[in-house]
Amino acid sequence: MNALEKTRQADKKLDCMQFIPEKLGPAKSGPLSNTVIAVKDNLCVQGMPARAGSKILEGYVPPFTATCVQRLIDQGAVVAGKTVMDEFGFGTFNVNTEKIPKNPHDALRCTGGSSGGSAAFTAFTGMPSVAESTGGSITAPAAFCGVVGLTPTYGRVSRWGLIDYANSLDKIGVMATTVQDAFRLLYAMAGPDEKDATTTKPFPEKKRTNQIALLTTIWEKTDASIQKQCQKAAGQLQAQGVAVEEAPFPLADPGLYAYYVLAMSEASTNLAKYCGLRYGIQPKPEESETYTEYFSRVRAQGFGAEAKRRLILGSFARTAGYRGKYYEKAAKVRTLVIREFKKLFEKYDALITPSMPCVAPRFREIERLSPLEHYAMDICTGAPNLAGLPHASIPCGRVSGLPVGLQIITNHFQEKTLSDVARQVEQPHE
Amino acid sequence: MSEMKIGLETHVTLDTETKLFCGCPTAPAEPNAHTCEICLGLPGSKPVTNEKAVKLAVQAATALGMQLNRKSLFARKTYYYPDLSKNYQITQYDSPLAEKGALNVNGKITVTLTRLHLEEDPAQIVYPHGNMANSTYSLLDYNRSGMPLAEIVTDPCLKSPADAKAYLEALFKKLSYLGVIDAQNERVMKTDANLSIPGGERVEIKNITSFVAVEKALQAEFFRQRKAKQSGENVERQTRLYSEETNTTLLMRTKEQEEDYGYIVEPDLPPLYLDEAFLEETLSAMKELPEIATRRLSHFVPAQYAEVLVFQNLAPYFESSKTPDKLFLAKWVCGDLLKCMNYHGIWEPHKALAVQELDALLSAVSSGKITERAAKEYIKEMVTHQKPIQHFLSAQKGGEMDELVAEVLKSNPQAVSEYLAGKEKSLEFLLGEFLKRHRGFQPNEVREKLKATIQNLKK
Repeated sequence: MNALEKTRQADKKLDCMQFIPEKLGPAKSGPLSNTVIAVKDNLCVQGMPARAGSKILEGYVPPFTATCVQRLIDQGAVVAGKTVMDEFGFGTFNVNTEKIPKNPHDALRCTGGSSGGSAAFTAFTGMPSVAESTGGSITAPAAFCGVVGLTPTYGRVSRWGLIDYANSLDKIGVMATTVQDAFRLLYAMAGPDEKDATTTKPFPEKKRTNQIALLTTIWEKTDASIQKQCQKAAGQLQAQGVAVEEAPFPLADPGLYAYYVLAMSEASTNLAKYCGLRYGIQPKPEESETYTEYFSRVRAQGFGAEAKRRLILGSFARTAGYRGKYYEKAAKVRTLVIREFKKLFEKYDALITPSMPCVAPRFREIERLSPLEHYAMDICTGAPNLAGLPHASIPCGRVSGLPVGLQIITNHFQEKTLSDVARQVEQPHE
Repeated sequence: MSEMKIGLETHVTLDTETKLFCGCPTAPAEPNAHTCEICLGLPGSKPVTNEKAVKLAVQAATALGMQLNRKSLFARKTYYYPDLSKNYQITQYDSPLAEKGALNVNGKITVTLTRLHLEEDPAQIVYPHGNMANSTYSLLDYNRSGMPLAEIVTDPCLKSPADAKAYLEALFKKLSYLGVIDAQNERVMKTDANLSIPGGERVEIKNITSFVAVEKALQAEFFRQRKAKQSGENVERQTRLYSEETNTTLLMRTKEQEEDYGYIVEPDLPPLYLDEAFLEETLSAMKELPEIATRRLSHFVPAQYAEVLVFQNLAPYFESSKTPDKLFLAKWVCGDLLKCMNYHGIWEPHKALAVQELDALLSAVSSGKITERAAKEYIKEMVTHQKPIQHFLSAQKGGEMDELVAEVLKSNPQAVSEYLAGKEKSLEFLLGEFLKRHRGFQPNEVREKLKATIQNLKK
């Protein structure tokens, strides 16, 4: 069965695709020839529609391609389609959107989000997917769907062509079935881009100390069954001569809160441009008396509930009078979180935690959760994402048949160490 | 006359080739011809800072005596309007490029400046039938979206509308001299004027283009505020617009309607660092400040000539001249040469007339070889047809020779008659008399001239 067929099958079974092209474009010759990929729908591919999980961008077809995807295409890769996602990245379960993907291991459970479509696609077809993480959106679905989810250092991959959620937090990464494939694709996309002023050349890699810390503060916030699986993975590392120690990380909760305040503040400015004037939906402009009334109506109709919630909170957090208390304070907490991580990296190669506090919840369980309970699900991924550290989720067993992931975090630009440790967990018997 | 406090915020368009955050050209074009993903704010686009714009802003700040912040940050100012492609403007908020400067206006007043920062221009709204109030629809031209602006804010230290106008004129003069702004562009400066009177709140009048209009707007607003005070009303914080037709200011929004811009640091741009190498390069490329150049030249020439030389781009040319009498030189450079340049639309003096040629011309005038009147004619031809001075001097020499020959013949009538009678030696005698008196002539040429002139006399 060819790649396009497989993609269509995946979509039929799991509702994971937002767009599938009629046929696959001719592949350029290069190191990635024969590599077929899916791309998360917040990354622009010229000529393919992009809506980032939102109704407000229905019908929008970008006139340019994201740098990271273009680099892959230039090396021979072919795009088999765009994957579904939480609206603009707002979500941990991929339920905040019209088309909700199903977990390949249990159709009554979510895939995780916001790169849920990508994870489901990769798990079903075996083909890799370019995805994106702001607060954990690669790790969560990778863990829930049982694939490798790789999030590189912030600034390693160009964000030119990425429909923004939070510019200081968004990172483009990879879903794949093996660590090797994931890193191969990452290095093919990575590197400074003059079109993205926040990209930078990587620092030199440091030598391994062969010591890893298990972050107890986060570990203890996860289900016992999850901890058990992750403990086995830690055991595998120890068996290979890696010293695993316990270390606290007291800034886990503040890191999560700071992440949300900053992410929502930035998002509320990024989403300001969606107003029915230049692209996206244009619902009967003639029915509005004023421009203000028109764009308010567009946004009321075009945004989902979670998007609206984050817009309101994000706008509030940066209003005069509250800006110092929330936005500025969150930025200061961010610095403290980074410092805390740096202290740990003086001694340790890597830090490990479970990727998620639980296995993929059922859709009906999710319906009963409050917004805060949704946000609390990011407790493992919030702080490392806030700090822009590279991290990966590696499958490490199952609980009641459902995948569990181990999160490995390394220092900035130490992707080689990350790859080494990840492989040690993936293939304990080298 | 009651006291008023005036502060001005002026937006100047920096004279760059491309926009502030993208590569679109800044030159005039058909509507929406110079747009791209960035200045249209398409999803996924990101800004990249134009180095030339930073350079010009640094030069402007330096010329205004401001302290540069070696590290400054860009910010997002969010509000909803059709001319703002992202519904936020990238500007600078907490940490601007430069602070605390001053501008001396006409040697009379010193206007202190609060800050200077970089920001992008929104798009242009065009009302095809009239104005905002009565046009049936409006059009948007995004050519202007993303144009590079420097915002210059004065302290509220101006005391009269006339002073405000004088300040703007002095600011314009200085910035165009430096090449920071394009003096030919009518819309290169836009001003928001703030005015308050004792006991009243500050009122802002937005978006005034001409300096005359700023003065009139402030005058009109002052009258409005004074009248309100006299009627016992409070002057409240407001934003207003100036209407040229009615010469009044009109309410745009009250302080309650003021938007909260919800500033955040622009997360797509790293902090703007001005390192040593960049500053050195930028400041050494800067033209010498006009007041310094003027002061220097005032040692050689009267102040009014110094001013003209500096502001008409003639100073380097003037200083490269070897003509020893500087006042004489200044008269010519600021007078006839400048006239010729203006006539032909030439901005650079060396393109009009090589300085060596000018020196040769002036030397011929001072030595009496040619009259000033003749020189005024010659310079026109030298510029228009690029004829070298030699052309005129030899022709002149010809005419001069005529006069001198006539002189010699007049002084020696006997020798003339003798020659006419057939005595060849008399010609040599006359030649000798001529050459005794006048240097620099070819003997054969003179002999021929003597012969020819005598023959003419015979007729």
